[in-house]
Amino acid sequence: MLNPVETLQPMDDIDAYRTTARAWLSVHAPKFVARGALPVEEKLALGRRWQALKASAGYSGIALPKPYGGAGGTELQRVTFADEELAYDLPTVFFGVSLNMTVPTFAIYGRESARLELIPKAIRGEEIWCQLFSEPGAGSDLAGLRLTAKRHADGWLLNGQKVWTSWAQFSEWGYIATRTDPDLPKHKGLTCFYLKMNSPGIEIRPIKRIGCDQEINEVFFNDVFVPDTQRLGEVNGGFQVIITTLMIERFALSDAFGFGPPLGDFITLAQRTSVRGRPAIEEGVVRSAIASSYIDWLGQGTINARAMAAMTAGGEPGPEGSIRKLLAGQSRQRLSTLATDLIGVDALELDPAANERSDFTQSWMDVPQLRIAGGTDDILRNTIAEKILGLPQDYRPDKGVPFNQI
Amino acid sequence: MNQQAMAGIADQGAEFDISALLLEQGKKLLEDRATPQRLRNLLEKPGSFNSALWAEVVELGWPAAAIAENLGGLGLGLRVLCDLAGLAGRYTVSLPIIASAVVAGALANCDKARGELVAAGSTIAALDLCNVGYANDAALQLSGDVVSGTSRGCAFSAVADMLLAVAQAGGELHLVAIDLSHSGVERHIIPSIDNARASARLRFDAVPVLVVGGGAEIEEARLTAALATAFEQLGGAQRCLELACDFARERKAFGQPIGAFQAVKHKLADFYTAIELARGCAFAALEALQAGNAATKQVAAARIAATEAYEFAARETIQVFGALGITWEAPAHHHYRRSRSLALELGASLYWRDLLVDSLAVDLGSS
Repeated sequence: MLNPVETLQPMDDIDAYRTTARAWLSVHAPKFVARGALPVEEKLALGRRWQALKASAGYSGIALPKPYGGAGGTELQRVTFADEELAYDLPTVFFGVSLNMTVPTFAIYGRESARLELIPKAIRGEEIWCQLFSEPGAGSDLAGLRLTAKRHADGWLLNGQKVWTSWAQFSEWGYIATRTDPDLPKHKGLTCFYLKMNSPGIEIRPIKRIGCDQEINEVFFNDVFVPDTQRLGEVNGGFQVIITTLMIERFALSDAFGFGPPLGDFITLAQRTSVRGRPAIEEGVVRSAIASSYIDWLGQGTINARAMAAMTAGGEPGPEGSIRKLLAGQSRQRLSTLATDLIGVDALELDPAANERSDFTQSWMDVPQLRIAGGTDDILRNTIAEKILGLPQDYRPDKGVPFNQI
Repeated sequence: MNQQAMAGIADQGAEFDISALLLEQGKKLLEDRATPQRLRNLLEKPGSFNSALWAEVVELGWPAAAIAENLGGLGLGLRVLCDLAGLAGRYTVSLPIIASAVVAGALANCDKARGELVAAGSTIAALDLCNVGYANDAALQLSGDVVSGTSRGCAFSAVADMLLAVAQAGGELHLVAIDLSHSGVERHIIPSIDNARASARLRFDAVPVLVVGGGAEIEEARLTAALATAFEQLGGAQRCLELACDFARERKAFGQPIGAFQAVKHKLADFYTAIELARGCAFAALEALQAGNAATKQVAAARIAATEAYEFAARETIQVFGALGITWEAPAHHHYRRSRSLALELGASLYWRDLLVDSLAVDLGSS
């Protein structure tokens, strides 16, 4: 099993780890910061070089076992490094799902020979693994997926469609959830596989988003053959594999400003702007927004620090970590909207070269996805209410019903 | 265990966790004493104070807990004051422990004997630090060493022996300690939304004071009081969340618990979010104050977040309870009242928000 048994790690050790990582980053990271609007292929190439350099220093695949090319470190080290890495605007976006979710799942359920061969390439950024979960009719309700896998020779034939797949167009490998038995209730009839993304019968079409990047795709499967040796987990045991994936990233790092511009930029903007001759910084609405954003930032900082401390002591992060994504998206949306108010009509100009971490118009344009991807605000509220507060589940008429009768 | 015995144990060192013991005893005591009937009785009469409960927590060492040992306190630090305040908030009991700690701290260098009486719980303290307008002006005028003017809406002023207040002389602000037994002090008890706060209007006519500090001391007293109060607010908010969730699980309508409806469950998830965010801010502020760093921003954020969380929780707990929530018998109105009292007593959010934003803007200008 992948999950290392975490032993008690003294705080001194992790502080030393952080110091070393910070020093290493300060030497190497600045050369990899993407400047201006790089074409996506160039950004990806830069990102691959960054992964390779990190891998050589033990900073890629930090929590993955050494035999697979990982650093054999702890989850805490992974989070600590990611925290330090956030200080730079690095082209790591292509590898997030691959190295934090897909590959770690494969490291648990894949065959040993395949793990030894494939994981090192992923860690070095040579190969990317995408995750094929969502479908047009199955997003938040993932277990409602319909893409079928039917037995064929010594493997399976896949037919159907996946959607919202990040970086499918650049991925060598895909990790996919399929329906293998529609006579069973929806959670019971699923099976997972991994497959070559250039397999015959796969068609990848980009989906244009309201933001400017080229991240997501829909992926069509027409009689795509997958050998049974590439099955992950048991036949009809796919839901367990999916849950494992969702649990691996126990503490996804988030940025309290939702990866938008920092609060300081907003305050500076408010100081330089006036509304009918009065400084905007003196407007109650503006001051209220500044106070709220600072509260969001300060509170989340403590929640992060407490989670790190819990992990350092060998425990689990508290459930309060689940509020961070909810807060960050809403906070960024609020602040970006008000910032464009302050900028006025000039904020209507969309500079394609601008970055959402420094440009409020880009930030505003791109922020809705933050409240959707990786669990919508609404599903997160359900999760908090049910898992933390112990409130009853929603009424679910499909519960226990064979999938083909829903 | 009495306070002397506690102090004795505190001297023996850290192998015995006094703070944990205080909290454990306190929880048991309040679980038993803060009955709905007693809490309701206190609300009936303006200026109510539960002196029997006060005597019991004095015996347990609550006012002494955070006060320095050289003043006869237990020297357990700010954290224990915050935790005890949280406990008081949870049970909606009103006990002047925050005022005791702040007043004893302010008296440490100028009237040690009085400070010791505060630590011993025999002098009841009250605070009037920023309840006047939203500027740094003060209602009390200091002239030489006497004050005149009116202090309003301060918790425990109906029963306090000593008031720590901000007074103005010319353009200068001073922190003054006023002995309320002086003949120039008139106390008028007036009905309030939360009679259990033991508040009164105090009129001062040339009452002698002890000047205990200026701007820096005022700031320190305000921040300490605001932080501990944030924990009191969080204690109340957390209790509201529990009350509302319990009710939402049990109360059925349209064939299912109302907690299964997203209109209710999402609201409760928002309670939780507001509380955890405020808790995060409160711990950040506690850490900054304990480290002796400039903590104005963090405390202001903690104060605003805790105020918002408690108000939201108290208001919406009534809503979850439905018509039951607006009855005298149900517990929700205690929190509704308390949330507003605590929101105003140390200066409303408007004041703290303004302070926070100025502080952030200054930081940015100097960096």
